[in-house]
Amino acid sequence: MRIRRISRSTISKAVVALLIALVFVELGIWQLHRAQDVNKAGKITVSKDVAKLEDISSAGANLPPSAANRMVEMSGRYVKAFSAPNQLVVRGNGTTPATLEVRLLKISGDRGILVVRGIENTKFQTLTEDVKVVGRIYPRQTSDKSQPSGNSLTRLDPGLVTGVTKLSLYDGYVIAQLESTTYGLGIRANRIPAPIQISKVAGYYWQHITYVFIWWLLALLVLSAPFYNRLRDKMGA
Amino acid sequence: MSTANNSANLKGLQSAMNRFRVMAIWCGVMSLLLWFVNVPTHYLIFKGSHHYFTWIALVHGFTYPIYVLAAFHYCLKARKSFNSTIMFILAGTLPVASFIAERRALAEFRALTK
Repeated sequence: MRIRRISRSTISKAVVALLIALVFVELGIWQLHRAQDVNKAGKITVSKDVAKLEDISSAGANLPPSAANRMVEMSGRYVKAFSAPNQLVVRGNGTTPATLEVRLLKISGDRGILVVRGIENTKFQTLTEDVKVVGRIYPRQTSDKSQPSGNSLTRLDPGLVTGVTKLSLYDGYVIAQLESTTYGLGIRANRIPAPIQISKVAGYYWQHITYVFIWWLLALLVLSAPFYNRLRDKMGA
Repeated sequence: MSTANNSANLKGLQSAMNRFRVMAIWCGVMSLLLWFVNVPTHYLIFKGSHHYFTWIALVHGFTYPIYVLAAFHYCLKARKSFNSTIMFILAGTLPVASFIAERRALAEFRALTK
């Protein structure tokens, strides 16, 4: 019985084809995950109930994805004030840049959270009493909106204020919709809307599905490479 | 018998070439629209705020696999080398390359049937 020996070059070609095909399969899987992300991003459901901040998030830990966009309430005292220039504020169907007033709210147990009170006024509002805040919580911003200067925050990110406070900070920030004193008196401010933020995952579902198909088709073609000559001889005109 | 076989093979080649030519022209047009309409307007004019021309990327994405299959089948029928097949498949991704591939396929077929 004759045993056909497989040459080294055949083996190396097969290995290379297999590796390239694996890369294409992985690229297809990556696109499939992107498609799933796009699908999920378009189906955000947020509870309308107002939750206590400590019930849905913890200081010093990442904001849980389920907590993002929730309406929350908390009580405490403002200990620091900042401005956040060049932030995009929803106005009608579009957005306009504005400088926002941001304060650090100290909550019992040496915890703190950034609260966006609204558009910054030229006149500084002194708030020394305890306040109750109701607003929507968002994940921290990851890209700068302005240049660093003085007491301003380049983005809404508690990581930027860790150097000026010893409080254990909650992740993310809250856009206040209501503020009141402990006696129940409302505090006025130039409030901004707090819409549900839909995470922007680039692309469309079907576009990503197409790429999945293309990558996997290319993987299949690469896998057919070692048999190409045989296939050509069989099918060729 | 051999003449009948040749004639059938040539007919098969012509069908494969015609399918390839249609897809090459279609992919060429869609690539031109993608590179010179969709991409510049998306990144330079609308900057991601509007998606008027996204359909171009979608249609191109959906039809490119058909082009790949048509090109692969044509290359097998035309007994092209594997490298040449790769070039024919990649031609569908560049705006003018698929037009060149289409012209070449036609010229080769005409030379064969002369």
